[in-house]
Amino acid sequence: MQAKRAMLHAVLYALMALSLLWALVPILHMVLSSMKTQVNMFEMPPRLRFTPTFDVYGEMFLGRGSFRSF
Amino acid sequence: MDYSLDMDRPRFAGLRNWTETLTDAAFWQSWGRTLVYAGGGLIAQLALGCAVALLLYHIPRFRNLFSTLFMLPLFVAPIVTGLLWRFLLDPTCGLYHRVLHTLGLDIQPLGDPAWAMCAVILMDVWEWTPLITIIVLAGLQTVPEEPLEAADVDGANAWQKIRYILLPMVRRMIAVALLVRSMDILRYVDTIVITTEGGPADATKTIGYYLMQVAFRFQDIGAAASVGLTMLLASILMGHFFVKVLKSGEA
Repeated sequence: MQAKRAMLHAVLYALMALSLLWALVPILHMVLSSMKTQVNMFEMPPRLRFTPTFDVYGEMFLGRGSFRSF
Repeated sequence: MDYSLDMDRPRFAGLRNWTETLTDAAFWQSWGRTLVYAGGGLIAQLALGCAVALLLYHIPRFRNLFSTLFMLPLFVAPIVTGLLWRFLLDPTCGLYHRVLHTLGLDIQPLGDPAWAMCAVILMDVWEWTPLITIIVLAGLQTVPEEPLEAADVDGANAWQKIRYILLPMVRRMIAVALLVRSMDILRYVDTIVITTEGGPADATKTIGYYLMQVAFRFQDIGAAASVGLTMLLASILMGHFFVKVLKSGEA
């Protein structure tokens, strides 16, 4: 009985992991891409270990260069 | 055809816009594709959404954490969903395209008329399954303990409890979720506009995209209005149907 219950729980958690994988992989991919350089972003297969860059966030909040100098 | 928007001297068109719309083969084909899109999307979402809701209901621990994580796609804007999936399915740099490739399926889902509809349905399923899940889960949590305990005493197994107690008791919640989603999916064009633009070869031109084309590409506002009214009519009929289902649960 105990063993059967443990197995049932394992199956439940496995199914949960599968559905979370389906829901979260695109979002994680988006988050990781936001911290990659353009070159790393389009790399195939995608690289999981990379030095994150937050340049795009800086550009988003502070603007890209100043137009006044033109 | 008169393309001018002459606001100063409007002329009455009679039923011309309607005959134009209703005799257009593309109009009926678009409705056919909408049927496939909405039907396929709703069935897949309903099945997956209920399955995940039941899963979350039975999971012994971390239910709130898991449900929060599963809800995340809901908070992605539809346009961003389209851009994200276009990136994921891109034939040169897409993650999912590569996964398909390693699985032996050498297809470009967004460039193949046979697969494009499948791809846009999957996007919709990805984004909106959590909505069904959250509504059904809310329903499941209001199911009283007594019938479940009585079923335990009678020796019912988990599947029988789901089939004969839980699902009948959340039937009205499911109808509400379907009501919301069905009216939404009829007019849903965001991901289609971003990823396939109705193509390839009109494979994903649903009625919403057809309306956009008639109104803003062909500038035929009158005909577009009649298309929009048929969509309104369909929404009303569908809403009426689901409300009827809801009411029948009360009796």
